[in-house]
Amino acid sequence: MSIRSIWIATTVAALCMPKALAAEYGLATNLPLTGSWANYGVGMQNSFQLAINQANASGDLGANKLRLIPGDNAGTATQAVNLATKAGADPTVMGAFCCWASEFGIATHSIYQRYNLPVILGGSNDHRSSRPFHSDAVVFRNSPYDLINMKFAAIYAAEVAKFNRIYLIDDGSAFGRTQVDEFAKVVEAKAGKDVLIGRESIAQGEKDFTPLLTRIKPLNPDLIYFGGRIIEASLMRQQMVRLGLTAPMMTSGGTFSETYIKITGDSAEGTLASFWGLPMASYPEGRGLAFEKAYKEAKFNDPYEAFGPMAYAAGEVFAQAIEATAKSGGVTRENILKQLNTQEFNTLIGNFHFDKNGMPSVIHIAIYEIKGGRWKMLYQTDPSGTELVKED
Amino acid sequence: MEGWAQQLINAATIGGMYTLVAIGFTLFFGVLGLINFAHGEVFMLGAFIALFATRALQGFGLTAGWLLVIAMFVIASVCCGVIGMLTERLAFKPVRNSPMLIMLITSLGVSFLLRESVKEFFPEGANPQAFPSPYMAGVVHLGGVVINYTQIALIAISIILVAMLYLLVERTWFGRSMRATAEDRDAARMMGVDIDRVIRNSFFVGSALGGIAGVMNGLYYLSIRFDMGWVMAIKGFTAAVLGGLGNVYGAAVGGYVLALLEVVIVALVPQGSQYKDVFVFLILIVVLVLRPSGIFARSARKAG
Repeated sequence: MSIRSIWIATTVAALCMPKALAAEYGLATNLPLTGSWANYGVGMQNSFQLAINQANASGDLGANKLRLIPGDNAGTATQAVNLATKAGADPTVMGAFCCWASEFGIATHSIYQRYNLPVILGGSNDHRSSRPFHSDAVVFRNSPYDLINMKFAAIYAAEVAKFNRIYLIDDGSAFGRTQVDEFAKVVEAKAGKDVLIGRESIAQGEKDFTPLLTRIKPLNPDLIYFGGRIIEASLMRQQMVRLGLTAPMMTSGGTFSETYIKITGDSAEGTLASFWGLPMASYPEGRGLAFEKAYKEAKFNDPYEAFGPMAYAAGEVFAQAIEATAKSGGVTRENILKQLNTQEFNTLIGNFHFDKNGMPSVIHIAIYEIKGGRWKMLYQTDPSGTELVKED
Repeated sequence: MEGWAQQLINAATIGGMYTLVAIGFTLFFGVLGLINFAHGEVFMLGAFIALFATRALQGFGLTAGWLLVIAMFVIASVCCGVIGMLTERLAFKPVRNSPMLIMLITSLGVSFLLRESVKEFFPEGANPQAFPSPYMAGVVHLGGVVINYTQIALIAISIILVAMLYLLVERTWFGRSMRATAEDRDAARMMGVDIDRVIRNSFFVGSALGGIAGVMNGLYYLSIRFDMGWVMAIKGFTAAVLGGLGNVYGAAVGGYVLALLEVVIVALVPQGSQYKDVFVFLILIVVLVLRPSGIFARSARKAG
């Protein structure tokens, strides 16, 4: 081989080398992009996409790129399971973001574990989808589960607002029932059994609650606690107002949404909710406002909705984990898991790490009320996450 | 007492919708012997057509509440009537002389087609849609009983439509032809009745009523979904069976009876709201065991 040939070959190899070392890593979503909960799912998807786009543009990943693999579970458990299996079986997928609905988190965690695919739960509030209530080490979450959320909701109801005639309704789902069970347990412990004047379950998909609300009205509740989701909550609230049931309705993450206000109209006024997120201006160091600005500039067709910040933070976590593994042992699912278990992450919702059960070291829970057609924060947890502090 | 009065009003409102859907089922069964499960999707289409028409009219600057409501009913009923005629012509007529199972499967196929078409082609069809109801806020207080303008209108509309149907069935040539066809198709043909026309027009009437029920549903619940037809199909069919399949007046009564049963169960039974469908179907089974032809025990193929 002549020296000229060697030079040509070396030059060509040098030009090709960066491309050969660069890789594209998939991050799969498993969200309700259509169906009753699409307002949440689409906002989460867009926010997750935004985090990926920013990570790719930042240069922090070097020549590597992240690729969003969108998954629409259409609000059905069957499809959620299919998507989890598909993501797990795809060797280019390094992480997953799932599921919004608690039932899907419960249905899919063992599937992600089977494929050793790290998954961050956005929403999926039922504690049974999270550690330590199962032992699937791949599952992490960046928001608190229902046992914590409901505790503060109950503290607000029993000790702050001092409601003393509370009627409980759940939507029959795993999410709704557990919400109400936990809420009732803490209220009873704080204020006594007599405060709870009744409980009923409805069927998901039901539209007419006037017979039930007509039965409840003479009991004169001062609070109706509804464990359920946006469509049923909206219909129930409209029918409450229509029947002259003046008590406020309290719900949680399944209803906390601008879409709830839009479809419920004037009847939404006075609705209370506990939620594991803050107004954008309340997140540290202006990160919430920065996210809001970036989301607007990205010109998505739909709003980020209530769970968008969690989705964005999950994207940030994966990006930072992959950046770290790319610089050390190489990007594999095992190495990403190690990073998730050890790394400190800088995200929209704060700087945090995951504890031994995959729970974030920073939690935010707030109590909101709809006033003037907007969700207004009344109370939030203090930095230690142990008590509610009134918002000025 | 006021609680029960309120429950009766609740039942009358829902019962009107069940009745209109049940009448459609009974008309199809009467003239064709067909249990048409696509009828639930025609109900759904009525709501979506009304929504589409409303948005179009608002786009042209026509926003008066009364105008929108009238347009919803007229456009939805006519369009659904035409859709009913088209499904009869294209899907059911070719298999009219086939075994009943074939027709049933055909109706399920049509149901699936209509539902998925809305999901795919209506803008954001897979998501729930807010439905405008201009007069929902206005209420009348009768003591402790609350009834809003929309409820008054819906109850009135369903009663008027049942009365008009009575006149159609009993006092018109079409009604006589329909009854004759339901009684004995071959004999009716020999007496000069145009069977194809009777069946086609029956589908128009039944589907138009289903479309009106869809609009009522949207006006009352303020939201509609592409998959709302299936549940109403089951409820409407149950009401028709309860009243006596093939008996138009039985269907009318069956709708209100079904609604009343649901309301009573929720009002009296603990956890009744979650299990009301279980109780209702249990009662249906008992009624059918004791009285197989339904409450109005006539020949199953009589339409009136």
